[in-house]
Amino acid sequence: MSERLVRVEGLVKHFPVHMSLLDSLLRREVPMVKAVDGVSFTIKSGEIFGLVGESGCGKTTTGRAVIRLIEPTSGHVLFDGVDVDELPRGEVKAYRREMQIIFQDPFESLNPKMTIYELVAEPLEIHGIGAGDEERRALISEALNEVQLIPPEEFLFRYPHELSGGQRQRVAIARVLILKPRFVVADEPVSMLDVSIRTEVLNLMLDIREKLGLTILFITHDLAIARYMSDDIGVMYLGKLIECGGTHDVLDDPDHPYTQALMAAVPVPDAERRRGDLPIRGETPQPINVPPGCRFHPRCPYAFDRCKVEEPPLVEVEPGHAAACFLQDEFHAGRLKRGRLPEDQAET
Amino acid sequence: MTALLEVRGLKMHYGTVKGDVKAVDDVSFSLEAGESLGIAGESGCGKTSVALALMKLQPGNAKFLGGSITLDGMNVLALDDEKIRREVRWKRISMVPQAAMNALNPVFTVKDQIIEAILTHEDVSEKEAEKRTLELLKRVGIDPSRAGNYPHEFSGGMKQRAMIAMALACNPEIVIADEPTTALDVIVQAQVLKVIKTLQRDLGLSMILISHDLSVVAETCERTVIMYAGSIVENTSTVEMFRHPLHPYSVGLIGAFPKLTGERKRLESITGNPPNLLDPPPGCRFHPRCPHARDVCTRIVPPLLETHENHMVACHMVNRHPEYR
Amino acid sequence: MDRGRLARSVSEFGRMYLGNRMGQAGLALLFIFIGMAALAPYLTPYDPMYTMQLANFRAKPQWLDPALPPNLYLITDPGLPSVAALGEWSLELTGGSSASWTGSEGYPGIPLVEEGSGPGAIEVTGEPSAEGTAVVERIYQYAYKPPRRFSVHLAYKAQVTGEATWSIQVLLRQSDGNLLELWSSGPRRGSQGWTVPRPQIDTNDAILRLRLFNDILGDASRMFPRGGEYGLVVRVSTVSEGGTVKVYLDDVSARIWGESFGLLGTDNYGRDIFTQLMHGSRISIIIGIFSAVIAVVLGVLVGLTSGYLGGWVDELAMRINDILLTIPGLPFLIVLTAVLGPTIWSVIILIGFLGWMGIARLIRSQVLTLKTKAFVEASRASGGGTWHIIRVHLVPNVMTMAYTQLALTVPGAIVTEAALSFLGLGDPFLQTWGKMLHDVQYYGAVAEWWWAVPPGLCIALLSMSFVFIGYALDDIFNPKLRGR
Repeated sequence: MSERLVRVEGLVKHFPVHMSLLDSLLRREVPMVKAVDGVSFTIKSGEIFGLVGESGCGKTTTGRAVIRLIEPTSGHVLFDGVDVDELPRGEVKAYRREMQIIFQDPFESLNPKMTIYELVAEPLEIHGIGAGDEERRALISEALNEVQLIPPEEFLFRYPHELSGGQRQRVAIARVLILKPRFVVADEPVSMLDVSIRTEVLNLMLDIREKLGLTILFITHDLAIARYMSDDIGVMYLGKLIECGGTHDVLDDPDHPYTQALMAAVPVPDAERRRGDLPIRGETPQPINVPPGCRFHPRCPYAFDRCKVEEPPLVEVEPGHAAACFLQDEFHAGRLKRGRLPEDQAET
Repeated sequence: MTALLEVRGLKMHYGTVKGDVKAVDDVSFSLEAGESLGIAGESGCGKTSVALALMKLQPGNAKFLGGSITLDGMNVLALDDEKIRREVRWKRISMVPQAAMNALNPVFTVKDQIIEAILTHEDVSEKEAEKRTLELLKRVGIDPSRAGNYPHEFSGGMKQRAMIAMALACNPEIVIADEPTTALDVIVQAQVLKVIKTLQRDLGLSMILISHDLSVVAETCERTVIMYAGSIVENTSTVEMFRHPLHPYSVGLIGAFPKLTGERKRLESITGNPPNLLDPPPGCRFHPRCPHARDVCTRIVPPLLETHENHMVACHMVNRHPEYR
Repeated sequence: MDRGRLARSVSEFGRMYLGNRMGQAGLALLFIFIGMAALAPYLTPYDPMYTMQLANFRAKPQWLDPALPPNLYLITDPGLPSVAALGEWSLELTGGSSASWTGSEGYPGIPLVEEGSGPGAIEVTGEPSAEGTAVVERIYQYAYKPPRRFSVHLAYKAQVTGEATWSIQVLLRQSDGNLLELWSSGPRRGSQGWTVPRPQIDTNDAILRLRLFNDILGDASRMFPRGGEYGLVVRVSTVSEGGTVKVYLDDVSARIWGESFGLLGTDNYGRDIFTQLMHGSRISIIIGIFSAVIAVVLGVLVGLTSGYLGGWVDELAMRINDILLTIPGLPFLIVLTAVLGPTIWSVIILIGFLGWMGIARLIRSQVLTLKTKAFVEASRASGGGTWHIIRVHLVPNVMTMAYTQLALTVPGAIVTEAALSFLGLGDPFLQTWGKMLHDVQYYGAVAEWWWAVPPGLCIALLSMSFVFIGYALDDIFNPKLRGR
């Protein structure tokens, strides 16, 4: 097993806005949604990589493209050093089995007409695992035990609507675990759950990671949850990774103005720690018309002429911590104060 | 000193085919003039029902089984619908509804919709209304040059700002904001919260902010009420609430939020699930999930008492358990 | 354990269905019609199409007016199988004629046309070298309103040796004593084999009417204008000029055609309307269900494939769908039935093939929403292929809609078939409800409500039963609509 289990290289996914039959017949140029526009990162074996960003930044598309749930427009995903795309057909299924996904909404991701037994048995059936009902049932009970749905017998023949949100998400996790994957994409797994329940699910995922040595790509919009869950973190903005590195490095010392803005914007459940003024204005543009140059420049208080024409590359500011800003070294070295407007910089 | 808004023992159930959903059960709180109050709790805890009851906008199957809502000495529950519509709603209490982004009519411009709201409630000239509208939009941070746009030309955050402007159109004394930032991204949420906070302070508004997100309440409100399963479990100043929560549910809820700064440690979760309000547990509704529950908790509903100065909590064990203070 | 769950969900479905008032009504109605269809051959001895002349044409229902004559057969034993059968008759002889029963003769019938009654006949023997008559008469007490049709049948034979003439007259003695000659053979010489009068002695014969009443439009009501004693008289006259003459009579029967018949009367061919109604339920149910099944199967297949595959397949399927939808249904069906021939199967197939478009659109839209559901994506993420997803996630989820659509398509098919039949484009060898309505319209019998109303009512009720069932299913499968 290589140290880097998953390597994503230059992943691009563009969606046509709408292509009608006529458009395709006339080979007309249709506008593209640049959902993911060149994303590269690596996930080390056994770690949780948190992918954060606001809605529409392309984090969900990235997650789906990594496990080939959608075909990327271009780019490679290497799993355990192997490019899944270049495998012969017969071996693809075995690789796919090792990469699984947990979806956001446990109310939607479970077929309402199937029992828990049928739901958890479905992956076994697809992959032809377990001979006979006895063996399958044992596997299913084991998976339900794993996700703390105890005793499993009590849940086997119930329907999703008879379970609470947290229990449903556990069923979804059991469906994933039963295939014994090495890599799991968790796409906002707790965003639909109430606070008191979501902690249990988060802790469950941490425990499972510990026990099974899973590698997890954890997608979330919630920086606090990302911080709680992940070892490494990547911040996306408009289809690009703009900063990534160790969780502490990125969140405690953000070197990209967008990450700084995000950190400043998160409300904190602590009445005494009120935040200062926000350095950025406006809202994220649609990924159809991505601004030229640095895609954050129209909202960036530090933007200067170069930002409008040239796209800053993602380069390391310190080992294991990269950002995509022309000013990242200034922030890192403290020559520019984080979270403070340029005109206020001189005051201190 | 009497409060501006006084809710006493409010009890509202929803009649359904399966029985009564005990959505609001014996809820009491008060709101002083110029105060900002946050009501926090998980989905289904009854916080939105309380807000709707304050405006008397409750759904048709709601039944008031007791209690009173007193606005400036006037019992709102006793007023007939016509009077509420003419004198209370919008003029004295207004609301920024949940999913406010869809609350704008897509076929009228934003400006016209706010003018319309003013003209229906107040006897002013159209010119006057327009002037006030542009002023309001400026206040919430929308450039008046975009006032004539249609809602679809606005981003989510701008629509939310417009809804806030509309809620302020008739100079109400109380604004109820129901999950005003739920659908927004963090940065926009922060901008909108800032607008709300500034307006509340500048206009001296009384505000009730309802949210499932404790941190939003913490950021915005002076006072925090936490609800669980249709009842208030704790009511105190926001600082106190986050520094010394007393009710086991509040403790669990606050502890369940991962921190953005400081040491990373394992979060403690509240076990179990919120009860079904068709058939809530007897006694304290939290007792099946409570780590400190005793026999008394399963039998007797704990009253909301001021156990410490300016700190009300509904728990039998609060003074017997040294862990809390 | 899986079977136990299936049984549980089936019984739960049953409970929910039976708890639904619309479902109850629909099922009860449908059971009535299924009972009708199943019991039709046992409850009605006739063939709806081919058993004609059961009574006079357009007889009224029996319960409508008891004073109307039912089918009356004046002679109970026309075949004269034994000497005892002569007991009904009174006999009057003159001129030395003699009449007796003989077992050695008997009308054998006309091959392929008419059956005879076998041995047994009246033998009238003329006195040699004399004139004589033999008159047989059947007295009948008539107690009804005047009938419209009266007919007499007889067969005769003469054996003559030497010189002799003979003649046969059939007369009706009315209650006031007036004698009407219905038929006469005229004086004949020589022998003659078994013969029946042609044309038949029947008031339907215009010549007979003209002769009797001097009015071509008259009918049997002038023969039986009031109740009383009537007699059917057969007079055999013989004149022997030395030879011998023997005249045989057999199969003498007379019928007053019923003006009332059965539960719903008769149609223009004297066929039983009740029989047609009962048998019509079979055809309507078969046509309704079969063509609905075809339409739903096609609709589900097209909807599933075009919805799931999307792209040009979807585009193509939906454009074909659009084209078929814009073709006005009935005119198109009329042309197609004209081309393919109006058999019941071509009607079923046509209705089925022209009824799938709406269903395909519904199923497609359902599939389009299902396809984006996270559980389908989750299945795909676990490695499920197209076929697996269609089988496990899509089909079960669209089946409930398919069942509902099945129930809701049946009425359309029934009504379409009825419309085709009404326009005279149905299977000409089947008497369907639509065809019955066609007959009502064709023969201008709209005022005869016992004929005009039942088929229409049955079409409506059977359609309604399926609509009710469809709504009930809709209610059960879409809990959001519950309480509608």
